[in-house]
Amino acid sequence: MSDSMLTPAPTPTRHIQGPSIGRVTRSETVKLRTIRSHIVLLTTAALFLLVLGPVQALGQVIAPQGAQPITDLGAATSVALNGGVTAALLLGVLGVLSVTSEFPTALVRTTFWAVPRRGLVVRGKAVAFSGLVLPLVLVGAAVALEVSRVILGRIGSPLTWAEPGTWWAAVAMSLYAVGWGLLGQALGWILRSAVGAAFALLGLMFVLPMLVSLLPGPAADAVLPLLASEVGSAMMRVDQTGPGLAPPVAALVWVGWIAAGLALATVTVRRQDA
Amino acid sequence: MIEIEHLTKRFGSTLAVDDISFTVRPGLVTGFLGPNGAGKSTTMRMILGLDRPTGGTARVDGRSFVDLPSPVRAVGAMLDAGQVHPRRTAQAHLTAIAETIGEGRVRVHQVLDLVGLTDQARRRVGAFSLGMRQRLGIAAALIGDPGIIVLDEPMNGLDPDGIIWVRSLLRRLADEGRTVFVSSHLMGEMAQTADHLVVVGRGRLVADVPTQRLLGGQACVVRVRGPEPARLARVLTDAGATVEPAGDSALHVSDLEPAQIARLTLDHRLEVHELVTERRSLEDAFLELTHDATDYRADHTTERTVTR
Repeated sequence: MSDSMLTPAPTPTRHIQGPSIGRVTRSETVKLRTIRSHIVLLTTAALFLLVLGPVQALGQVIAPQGAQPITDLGAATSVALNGGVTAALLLGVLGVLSVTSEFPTALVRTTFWAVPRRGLVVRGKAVAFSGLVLPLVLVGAAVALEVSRVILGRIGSPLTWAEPGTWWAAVAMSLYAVGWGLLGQALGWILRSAVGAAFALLGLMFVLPMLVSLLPGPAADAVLPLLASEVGSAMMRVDQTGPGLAPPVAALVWVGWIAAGLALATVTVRRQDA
Repeated sequence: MIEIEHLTKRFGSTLAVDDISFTVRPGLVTGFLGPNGAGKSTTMRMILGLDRPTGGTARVDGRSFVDLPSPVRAVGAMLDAGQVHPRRTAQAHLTAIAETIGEGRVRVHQVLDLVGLTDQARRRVGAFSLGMRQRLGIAAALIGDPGIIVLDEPMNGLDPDGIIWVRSLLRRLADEGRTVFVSSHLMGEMAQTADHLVVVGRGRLVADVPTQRLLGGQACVVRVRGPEPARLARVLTDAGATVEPAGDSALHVSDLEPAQIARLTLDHRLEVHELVTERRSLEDAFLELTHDATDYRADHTTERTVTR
């Protein structure tokens, strides 16, 4: 116990400045990094991304008769990034937890005391999550592609860094995985419960497309391609042709989904008592 | 300075806070007193912009909390010592708060040192005792070196050493000219801590007075006990005292000084087993004040007779 008088905070010159997006982001990054289960989830997601693709590539080489032949670049990248969907699911859960873990302990009150402008907290958490996860997933996807390229080279696959599609695959996969995390955060803010938000996320990923496809033909055809799950897959397509939106358009709609989710989250947290 | 004007909060059909107005001034420790469920925490949450008032305003430094340029530097707050992720270390928790005002490790270590948690900095908060959590909460409140400090039940769960420590810290903060606003449901605790008391019951303001006035408003009473209460009562009444039975052959005597009572009993050769001055405690004053304002209470009017 100290007998010293309360020492003034060392940088009084910065007194006037309140919490900025940069400061809130740093604060939220500290929060993300300092809980072990977050790190475990992040590491597991990275491992899935790194290992699953190359393992499947190895399978192609060792037992080609049991696997679908790799005829084009798209097939090759989807083998290499095979672990991406699982990683995205885990990152979605990480996104959920990064928000909902503040509610049972009412830590969120401490958060909103320090940063009363709640929209700033929503944005700060999103930027912190992206800043931590995006580089990791990008590197993970690139390594998975490179290792798979080396492995698949033995059976003469078309996977090569000379194709822009390979780069696109890595970037789109990263956007996809981080995007699910951010949608998880949005659902966490809206529903405040880890279980509720995780189920809602799974619903958005898997159940909603099934329900929509039950709609009468034209309605389903119109709505289905715009769902987050479908937009996400369309974005990751390497070839420009195929069903659904073209990959660059899909990427824009995907960003729109995330922006809409976070905007809805902001409106919700502003209205509720903490 | 905290200014509360006609503050009201309704949850469904319940009025948690009912048209409360008061001012918390700098340089004093102001106790916010009331039974559990009286609306203390709700009022504090509204001061901090966490709950939106149904009516009225709560202002800090002349503006609403949400409009403060740097809230953590203006108002230090601890609402509940549990508002910490149990798996985070004390240091990480404080760092996350410090980062929002551009402070770092230096400041975190200063406040950890201030509350005596330096040795526990790298332990997970989940393993902390309630007392240690209170200290951590106070450390968090002090990170921004704020001019206003709002603490909800900071002495809850503290051992006697801890209570004395909090008390002297609050005193020091007030002496430095800060505004200190501390809630408690324990009146005795506040009697020794606060200079000024704001008492609420059932969401309504019951009293807003200096502690001394609440305590000293009544003349003191002398409790006298002996084997012959009837004769004792007669003698004392003849001498001009007001006497009330206090159970167990004891009497509560007012309007006479203890020395006069002792002289009278000696003159009349009355045996006395007990002769004590009883100050009206804050507890009594509090019970009296919140008597009508409490939701549920045991009927203990016969248990203790407070002379008035």
